[in-house]
Amino acid sequence: MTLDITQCLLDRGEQPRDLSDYQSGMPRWCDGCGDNAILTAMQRLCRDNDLAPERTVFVSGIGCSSRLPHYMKTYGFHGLHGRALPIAEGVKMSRPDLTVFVSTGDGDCLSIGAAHWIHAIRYNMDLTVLLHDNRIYGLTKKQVSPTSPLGTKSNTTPKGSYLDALNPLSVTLGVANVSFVAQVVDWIPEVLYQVLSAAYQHKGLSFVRIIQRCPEFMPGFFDPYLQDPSRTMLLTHENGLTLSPDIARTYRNQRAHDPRDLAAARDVASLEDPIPVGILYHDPDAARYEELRHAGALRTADQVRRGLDAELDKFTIWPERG
Amino acid sequence: MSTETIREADAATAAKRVTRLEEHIVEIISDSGEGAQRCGQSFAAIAAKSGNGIWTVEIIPAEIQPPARSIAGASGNRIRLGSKRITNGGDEVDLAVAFNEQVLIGRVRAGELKPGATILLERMWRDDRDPRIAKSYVEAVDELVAAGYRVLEIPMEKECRKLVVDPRRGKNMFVLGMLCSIYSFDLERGREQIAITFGKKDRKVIESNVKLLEAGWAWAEENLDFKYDIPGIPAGEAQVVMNGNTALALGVLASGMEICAMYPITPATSASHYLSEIFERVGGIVHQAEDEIAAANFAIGASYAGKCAVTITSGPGYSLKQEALGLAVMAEIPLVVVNVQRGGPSTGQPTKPEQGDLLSVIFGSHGDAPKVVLAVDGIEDCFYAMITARKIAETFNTVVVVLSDASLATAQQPFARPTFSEEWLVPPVDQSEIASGRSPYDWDPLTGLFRRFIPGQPGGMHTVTGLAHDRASHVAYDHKSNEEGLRNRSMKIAALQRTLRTPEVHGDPDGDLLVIGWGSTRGAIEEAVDRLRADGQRVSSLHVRFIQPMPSGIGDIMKRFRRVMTVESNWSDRVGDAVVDDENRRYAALAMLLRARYLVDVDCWTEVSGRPLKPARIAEALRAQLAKEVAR
Amino acid sequence: MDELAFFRLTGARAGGLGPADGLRPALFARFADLTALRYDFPLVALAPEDGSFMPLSQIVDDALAAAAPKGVGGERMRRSALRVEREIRTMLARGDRGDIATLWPRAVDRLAMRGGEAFVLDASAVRAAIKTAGVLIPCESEVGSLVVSHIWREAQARKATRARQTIDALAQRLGDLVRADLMRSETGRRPDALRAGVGTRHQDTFDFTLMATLLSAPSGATALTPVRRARIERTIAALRRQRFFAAELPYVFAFDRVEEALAAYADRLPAMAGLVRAMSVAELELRNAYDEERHDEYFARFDERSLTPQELALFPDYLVRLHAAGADAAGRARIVEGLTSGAPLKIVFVTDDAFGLGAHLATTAMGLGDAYVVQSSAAQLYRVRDRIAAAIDFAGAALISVFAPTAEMTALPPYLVAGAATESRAFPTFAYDPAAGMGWKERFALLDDAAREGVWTDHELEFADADGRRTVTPVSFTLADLALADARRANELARVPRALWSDALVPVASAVSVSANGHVPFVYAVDADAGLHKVAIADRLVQLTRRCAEAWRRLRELDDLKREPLAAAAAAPAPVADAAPTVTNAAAEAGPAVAVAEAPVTDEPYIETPRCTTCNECTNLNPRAFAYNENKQAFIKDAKAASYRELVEAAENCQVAIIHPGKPRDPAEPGLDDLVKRAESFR
Repeated sequence: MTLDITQCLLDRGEQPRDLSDYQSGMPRWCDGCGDNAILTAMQRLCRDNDLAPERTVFVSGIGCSSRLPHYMKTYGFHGLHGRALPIAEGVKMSRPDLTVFVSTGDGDCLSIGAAHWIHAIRYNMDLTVLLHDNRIYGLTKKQVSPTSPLGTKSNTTPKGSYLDALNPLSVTLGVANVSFVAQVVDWIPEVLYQVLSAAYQHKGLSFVRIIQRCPEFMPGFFDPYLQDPSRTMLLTHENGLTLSPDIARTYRNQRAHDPRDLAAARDVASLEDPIPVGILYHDPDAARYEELRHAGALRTADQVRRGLDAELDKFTIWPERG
Repeated sequence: MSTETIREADAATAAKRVTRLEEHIVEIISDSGEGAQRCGQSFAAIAAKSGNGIWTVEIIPAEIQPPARSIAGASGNRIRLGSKRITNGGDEVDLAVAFNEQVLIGRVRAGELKPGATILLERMWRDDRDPRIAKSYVEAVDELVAAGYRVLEIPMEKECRKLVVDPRRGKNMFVLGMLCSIYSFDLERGREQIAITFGKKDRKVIESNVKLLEAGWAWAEENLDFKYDIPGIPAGEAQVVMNGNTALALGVLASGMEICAMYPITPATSASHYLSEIFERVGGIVHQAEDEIAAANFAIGASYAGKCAVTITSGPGYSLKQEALGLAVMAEIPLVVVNVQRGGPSTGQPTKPEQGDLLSVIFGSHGDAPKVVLAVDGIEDCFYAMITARKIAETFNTVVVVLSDASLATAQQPFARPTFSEEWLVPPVDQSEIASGRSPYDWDPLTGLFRRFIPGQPGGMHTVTGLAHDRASHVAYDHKSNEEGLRNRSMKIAALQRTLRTPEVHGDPDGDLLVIGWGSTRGAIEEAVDRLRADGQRVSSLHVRFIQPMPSGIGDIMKRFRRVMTVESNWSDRVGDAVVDDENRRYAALAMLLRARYLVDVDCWTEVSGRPLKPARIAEALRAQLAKEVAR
Repeated sequence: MDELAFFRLTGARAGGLGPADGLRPALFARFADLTALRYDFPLVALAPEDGSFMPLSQIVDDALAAAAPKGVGGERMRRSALRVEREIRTMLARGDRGDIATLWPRAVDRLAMRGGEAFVLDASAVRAAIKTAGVLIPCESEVGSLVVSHIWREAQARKATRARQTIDALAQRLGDLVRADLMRSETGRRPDALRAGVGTRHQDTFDFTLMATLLSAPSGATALTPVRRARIERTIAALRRQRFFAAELPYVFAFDRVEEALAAYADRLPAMAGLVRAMSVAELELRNAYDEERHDEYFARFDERSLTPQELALFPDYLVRLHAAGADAAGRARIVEGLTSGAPLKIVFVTDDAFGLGAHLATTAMGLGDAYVVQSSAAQLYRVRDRIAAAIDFAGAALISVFAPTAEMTALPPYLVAGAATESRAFPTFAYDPAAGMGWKERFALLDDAAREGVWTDHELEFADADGRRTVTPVSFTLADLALADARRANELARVPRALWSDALVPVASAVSVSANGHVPFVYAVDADAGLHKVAIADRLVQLTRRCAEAWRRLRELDDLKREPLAAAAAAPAPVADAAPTVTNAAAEAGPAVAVAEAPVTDEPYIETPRCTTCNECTNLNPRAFAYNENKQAFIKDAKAASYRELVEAAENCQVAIIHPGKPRDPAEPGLDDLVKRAESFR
């Protein structure tokens, strides 16, 4: 809790932050890479929610997407391939007072990190997870990823990939205790920003799959979708996404979908074309692991002393008196 | 010699002879579920209360529910008790109590019984309805007698049936009573112990068990013609009796660490079990992660965000964590890792002790990943090592690996009750502002040390990374930054090494043979050395706790001895093997390290029997070594 | 006839008219013995975890549900339990007091004689099944303050726990600041400190003097300035010193006089301000946000005037228990003062006066506008317990006005009379919650649903007429009927001998609605032997009854606001959508049907900025012409800075095709024809 007067003093104290307060270094992504749009959206999100940079942590794994923390002027942890989620969970468990975002790619999260992905959904800790899904391995120069469409030609599949793509949404929606699942595309920045804000507002693990362009290794792959707005289906609902007139004008393919309806969410998740964009599922009441475990509970030295002595008593042989 | 089958009738005539002893090894074995474990623990506690030094070793069948009366199914407890402080499990058994002949044969074949040892054997099988059982029993007894053991057949179940309906469950307390009589312990202590063990149960349970205890005592008093007396000196200060994993868990609690991330693995898990039971009460959290890798990364995340965390595992789990540990080293995040070693490689021998992980722990993880490695040398050390490890990890922003093993995990030994100090605890998370112009890796040119910036500290924002980075933690591809990082991360360890005091030599400072060991073998090695010294041999031993970095002065100590060898419980090529010679011999882990560092021709003797090393076997090896010397 | 009219005007009884002593309202005939009735009372005051109150009857039922076996045995047990319950009621009516633990066995003893072995066994079995303990509160004159006090006590306990946790946490975290600073400082790196930090058995393993010198590496963190450290230590002390939420309160918060409560509150305000100041300083320090330049001065001038409602709400509420006795004009003035003082007074006002000003205090208080008000007769208390709790939790003053009959008023069972006070509209049940909204519509709620439509509650009276024939006649239960239950109203009532029964006697209800001359209003009454009587009413009481009816009508009109069709509500301004893209009204309509702005038609080059994905293509092509806005989305900063060729190429490179080159500005630019053609697709 914060006292009104404290809040008012704080508000009077700081001049409003702008994007530059969250920008660090010059992004090294290719021109036209979807990561640029995601970075911008995240910087806007931090600014508009006036997040204290020192209390915000961006955790990532390995891959193009996972460079994102380096371009945020907040605390960041650029970890190991596939392990962003366990690291983020550790951060949140020891410091529930921090705001934690996770940037991970389709290879990082859905392939080498798959085990952690499934269990992170189940823990439902208060993390905002951005799945940067460009459906290809970029940093290692073009290999198929779990979400590459069947027949994708790559350096490991010169004749085209052999298997159907994995669907991150339907898998996530199949995990117990799932609480927030959304899908967006990097080329509709306004909706991207809206959905990320909703994800940030949600208390619990919000999983946002961001379908993203890779001009280098999947050139033109999404052009049909960019050129034909009708191949993007916006999910709208009073509990979900609400559209500005501008967007509504461009993207007229819309469907009313209630994010509280899991069964419906699973149907939507299975759609490939048109691409469903919006909040598929939202359950604000799912149990949060860090709360179940009383993370951040204050402890005193005396508490530890008492705890230790109580236990030692059970094993103690006291010297015989007299 | 024929078997002494004791009948109540003869009892009166049996004249007691009380033998005074320095020490004795007792083993109580049964099918699992028959309570030999509990009997053994209670007996050990009574001995400790009576002022004896004790060391107990659990005898655990590999399977959860082995078939009844199977040779491999022995479950129970070995108690070595003596007038002085006992530091290891000792050699072979002097007196064994067995609930059936099969489990006993298993132990005999394993060479666990001393020649001529006394055996108290449940005699009910002799008249078993199933002729095959009766037969195998008779054969076994004959075989044992033939082998020169002194077998006393005892109608345990028959006697117990007089008091309880299900004698199979009550037997163990009857035996406890017998043992109290045999070792001349005050029966009252037995009653107290039962009150403690069954404290949670209701009075009835306690009373019936006390009855059995007294019956066992009375029976032994009447029918056994021998008694032992091992005088003990009751401790003047409070002692705690616990096993290594319990001590470890309490150490974690006392160190002020708040998060332990783990994944179930034998033989480390029991530490996490106990911690889970007690940790929440002091605001701690045990997180059972989805796998070993997650556990390591979870702990790293927790450490990074504030206070040093710990992850507890065993060999196979440690292998899985290696990449994560490399990250912690690279990003210089404090972390405590416990590896309770078991038999390897691969799944190896999950329940058996071995010292096989030393090299993979020191050199594991790709690239140059220097970390601190220390090995606990006893039960008490398991407790204090956690406190020290946490302090070192946080002071030097480094990974500290604590090596224990399966033998310490379950062995019990009394030690002085620790007194809590607030200084043990992790300091509060620093949230103060970072002065401008500081960078997250302000490596001190002298030591390579720096102060971590912790999330929440204004002005400290930066992104830690597993990539090579410069002082600002920016990804760096240039060779200068890369070398600067490598240099400082390594220098830090050297700085710590400077602060390490030279360990003390056990025995004279010079002589013919210096034995160097590490970890759980300390007690056995020093006992072996003492035996040889008692024979006038000029042997001393040295035990190293910090193995990476290794304290200075060891080289000088080695110079003062004609020959140096290590005694370890990991594999080294047997010199006798035809294809093995000085060129290709693979040395034991510590021997290899010493040879490499000090250019001294350090020999080694190792045994990987899946059992704690025995003083006698070591003494034998040392004698052989000395003989070699004379031969030259 | 004459004497009737004379009585009506003067209230003087002449001729055959007799006093109404010993008569009860006719409708009371049904309730000869209340102890047999299983109603809300006695209430049992429970511990917070069991919920604040529970009627004894419910507790007994729960116990039976748990303990009673199926079949005959169970039935017998049930009967035994109910006998005990009834006995307890009787004992309470006789003035015994205590909790279940004491009264249950006593009741059992008293019945044991007749009940016998089986009964005693049953009774003790049920007793064993009663898991809740608590004091029994019968319906009597004290019930109002007892119930409210209980709820108030619980609320304060909850508040105190919450506040204590907050304050302790602040103090501890501040302590951590100091400790962290120490650990960081030279002292924290002294050899002895380092030695103490390792396992006792390893204190000879290290050379701590050397370690200390190696660790003298400079720390990036700034050390606490002496000034800041002193401030933090002062603040910790202030937090630890606080006296409002100590385990056992050094302050008293319950009073019997408004002015004492107000005095105490005023007296403690500075201390409250001091605590809030400390809390606020702590919060700033913990954020490293305390700025001496600005905050020193602010906190120097910080006093009770600086406190906001949110902070005031942290502190305990002041309970004031008043009895009608004290409520003369001056007393009421003090109550109003208390309710408007801004102090969190929770005034429970108990009256046995259903006719006079006591009955109007609550309606007066509603007029003040910013106090929470609850009115209820003792009989209704259990049903309005949640409203009372809300009144206590309300951040501000509250009045809880309770009607409870006293011995001085009547010898009839209090629960019966209290119920009658509600029934007669003399003391309707209602609540007024200033926090619920802006208007009466949201704030006011009439809680009597019993025949709320009618002016009076209607009943049927069954009696034997002169010829012994049973007849049924409809009657209303009015204030005048209630007067029969108030000894102090005796001289406004007169028993009318049958000789004088005539058409001139009209039921008071109709007399109130139409005032007809020559008529004398009456009410039915019964005597001890259930004999029926007509009792004439003097004008003074008729006036009161009329006023009572009007008061009731006004309350109902207020309440009816709620029941207006929603059309009216729609007029209200629609809620504004909040920052997060969650609920907005527009959402519902969002879809193809929505009316949308059409694209601008212009010859000037432009960018659909909101759709820009920050891909850097155009800004790299020509940073002077293309730039990013505050959201890092591209717009045309200076069209003149770009050639038409650049505009067209930018349009072609833009992956989301949101750049529109418009018409060429410079007709002389080479290759225009081709460029214009290429620009076609970006019109």
